[in-house]
Parts: sequence; C-alpha cells; structure tokens
Amino acid sequence: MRGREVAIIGVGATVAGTHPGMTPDQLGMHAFKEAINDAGISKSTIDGLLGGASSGAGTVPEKFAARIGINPKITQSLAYPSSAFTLHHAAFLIYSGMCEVVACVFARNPPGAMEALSGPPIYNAAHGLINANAVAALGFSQYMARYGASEQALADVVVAARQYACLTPGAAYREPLTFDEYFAAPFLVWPYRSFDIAKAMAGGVAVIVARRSIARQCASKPVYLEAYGRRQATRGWENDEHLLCWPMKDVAKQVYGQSGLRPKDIDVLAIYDATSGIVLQTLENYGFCGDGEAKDFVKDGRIAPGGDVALNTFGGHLAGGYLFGWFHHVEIVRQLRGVCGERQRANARIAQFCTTGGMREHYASTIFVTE
Amino acid sequence: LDVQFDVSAIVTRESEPYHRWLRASEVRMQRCRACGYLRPPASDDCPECLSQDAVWEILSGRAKVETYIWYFQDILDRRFTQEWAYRQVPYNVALVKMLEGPRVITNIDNCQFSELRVGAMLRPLFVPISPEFAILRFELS
Repeated sequence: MRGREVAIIGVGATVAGTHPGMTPDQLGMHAFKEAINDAGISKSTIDGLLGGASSGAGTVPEKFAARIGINPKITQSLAYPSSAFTLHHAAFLIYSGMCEVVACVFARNPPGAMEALSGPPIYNAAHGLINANAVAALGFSQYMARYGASEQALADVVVAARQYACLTPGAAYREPLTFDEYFAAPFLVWPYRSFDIAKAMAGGVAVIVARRSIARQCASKPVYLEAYGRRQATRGWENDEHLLCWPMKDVAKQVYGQSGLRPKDIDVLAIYDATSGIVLQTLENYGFCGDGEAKDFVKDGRIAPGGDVALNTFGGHLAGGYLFGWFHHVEIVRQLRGVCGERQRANARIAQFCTTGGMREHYASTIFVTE
Repeated sequence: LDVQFDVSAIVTRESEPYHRWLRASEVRMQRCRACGYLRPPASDDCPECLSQDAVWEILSGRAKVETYIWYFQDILDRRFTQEWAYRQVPYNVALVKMLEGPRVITNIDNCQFSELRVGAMLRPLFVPISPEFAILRFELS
C-alpha cells in the first residue's frame, strides 16, 4: 500500500475517566458530532462505519449507523477491535475502492471505570493467571531478569505519564504523582504496582478517515497514514521470546521499510501502554534504543514534558485515558496539527503509534505524516 | 485441596487425556506421529504438519523457569465480575519450559518470593482437581 493515500480528516473525543449514567452510544454520539464538525463534512458522505462491539461495552456499528441516520456500504467491528487494527481496516476499505469516507466510532462505559483494572479478568483458571495485564507483568519480569532493569524504569514511565496528563484538558488523572508516592505503593502483581496498570475507563472517540482527494478539501489539516505494520503471533509461547514481544521487531521493519523513516525521524511517539513495562519493551523492539537500554533511555525525565522524546504526550492509557489506543490517535492528530498548547512538541511533522494486545499476540504500528 | 476447582473450566475435550495422565502422576504431551512435533496445548491437530495422528508421550516432568510473577493482592474485583479466583495470595504464576521443549503456565509451590529465580530448575507436582483429573504444578528441585 502506498503511503499518503488515506488520511485522518477529523477527530472527536469525550473526556476520559467516568461518565456516570451515560451509555456508550451517548458518548459515541458526542465524539462523532465533534469529529464531523472537525472534518467539515456532511455525515451523508460516510460510506463505512467501524466500531468495537466485541468488548461487551462498546458501540455496535450496525445500530450506531441507524442512530446517526446513515445507510453506509459497510458496518463492521473486528474480533480484536483495538484502535490501530480498526484504523488499518478503515484504510483497507478505502484502498480497495469500496469506501471513500470511513468513520471509526469507539465508546464504552464499563463497570468500575477508574477503579477496575483494564483487560479481561481470567486468562488461566487452573493456575490463577488473573487479568490480561498479568501477562505483561510476566513479560516484564523476564525482561528484568534478562537485562537487569529495575522498578525505577517503570516509575520513570508512570511519573512522566502523570506529568503529561496534568497538561492535558480532559485527561483522567490530572494530579501529579511523585516517585516517593510510586514506590510507597504496594505490589499488586509483582513486578507491577497498581500505578503500572491502566484502569478501565469510560469515554468515546471518533476518528474519520478518507481518501486523499477528499482529505485535501476538508476543514482541518489532514494527517496521512504513511506506513502500516502488522503481525499476529498467534502461536504465543510456542514461539521463543514471545513475552519479550520480539514480533515488534518485524513490525518495525515493515513500517520503517515502507516509509524510509527511522526511529530518530519520529517527532511524536504514541505507545499502547496498558502497562508501564510495555513502553520499555516497545522502545527497544522498534529501535529507539538497543536491547536492554530502555531503562537509560527513559531516565532523568527524558520522556517527561520538556524531555528529548515526545512520548504519550497526553498521559497515555496510564494517566491520560484508557480507550484501546483511541485517545492516542486523537493526540497524534492534534500534535501534528500543532494545537496541543503547553504540551505541544515543536515542529511535529511525523508521528508513530505502536500497539500490543491480548496475550501478546496482536501487534500493529502506523506512521503518520502531514504534507 | 486448598481451593475448589471448577473442573469444567479447566478440562476440555482436547485436554482431557493430559489431565487424566497427570492424575496418574505422569506428564504426557502429544507428539505428532507424522512430523515428530511435541505440542502443547493439547489439540486434535498438529500445528506444524496438520496431521491428526499423535501419541501421548511421557516426559521427564523436569522444567526450567522462564519467567514468573507474584500476586500480592487478590485483584479479581468481585464488584465487577462473577468469576472467581483460585489461589490465596501471595502466590506465583510462572511460565516454564519443559526439558523436552514445550512451555506451560503453572505455579511453583512450596517456595518463597526470595527463592524464586528465572532459570531455576523444577520438578513436577501433580495436584488433583477431581477423582479423574489433576493439574501440573512444580517445586524447586
């Protein structure tokens, strides 16, 4: 697929966190209206609607299409409906020629917003492997033993995320967190504390994508999809180094190969941080630093506001808002449009999103550019 | 038994022989008769050559810790789910590699936080969950 043929033309989002009494459809509607206004398009031009119903608490595309009064060519949600996978699917529909404008609407209001851990509760009943993020903890435990990393690196990620969230209107956790407060918290699932694991949250995001010829005529600056990388490591730990997330190295080859870009070219980086530890593994596997070097890459505030690396500049899942990576995409678009105020990365032109999912079997990355 | 096991949530049609052999204190996994691939998880089909012809081969039961975590709090929040936990905290969950190659998720029993290490060698423990079935845990050897 050639780059810059498909663009995000509009984004809309609710605040992240809790929305007592609101239905996913109400949250989705709020985000959708904001997104079509942002793009400056009529809803009748939308010929594809994607969503995320399989999480059990999301918007059902077939029903949401009726709510917004359209009869699109395609309504669909993926079996694994997290953001990058759905956004890529929207792009595929456009590349195929089937659709011209595709809206991705993802909204949910799960029980226990801001309290319950994100992720499915039971992974292995016989042995008590409880919560999806425990699988990430298994990976980070292996990583610590392999490379001598410590909890300090996790704290660097968590504290930086909070600092960015404090600069982001609508973020979930807008109170600062000190290193002392981090280390004073008890272990939940060693080596993770509660701070290391994203909480379930309510919220809604709409992202509208269109073919290039339409994007150029839209109200707001389009953000083009430049390169796509994917891998499904479905055989899990039958593969060596599965929990070290080495399939990311293959995805990195895809996106950097297609774009001719390198990690040093990325102005704004967004990582799917369901846990803090995956940020460190992602930085290494995509080549932002060498294997085992992430603990030094993130230290001394290098990934915090004002640091060398613009990473999850809205606070990520850990502090900004957990919505399967959709808030990350809203932030990427706003950073590349230069509208992020005091957290804005100067001269941001190129952004990258990197994601991991499930029992570490789902991998995707996208590089975004402006013209 | 320290907990009540929901056997139907653990033993599947395909894994039933595995858990039956464990109840007889034997670790057996399927080796493909066509290509020789030794597999878990239990499956009708060899993921390498797609043959359905396999034999339940006895393994040494020895394994090595690849990684582990410790649950210090019961994180199954019963306000938000009907499902139930199986262990009392603190407990560990480990990914271990059998000497013969396959990896399994398990627990390392009779061991303290300070004693468990990546690379530790293990011997099997056969934990009954019903008169017919058991699950495989380990202890440090």
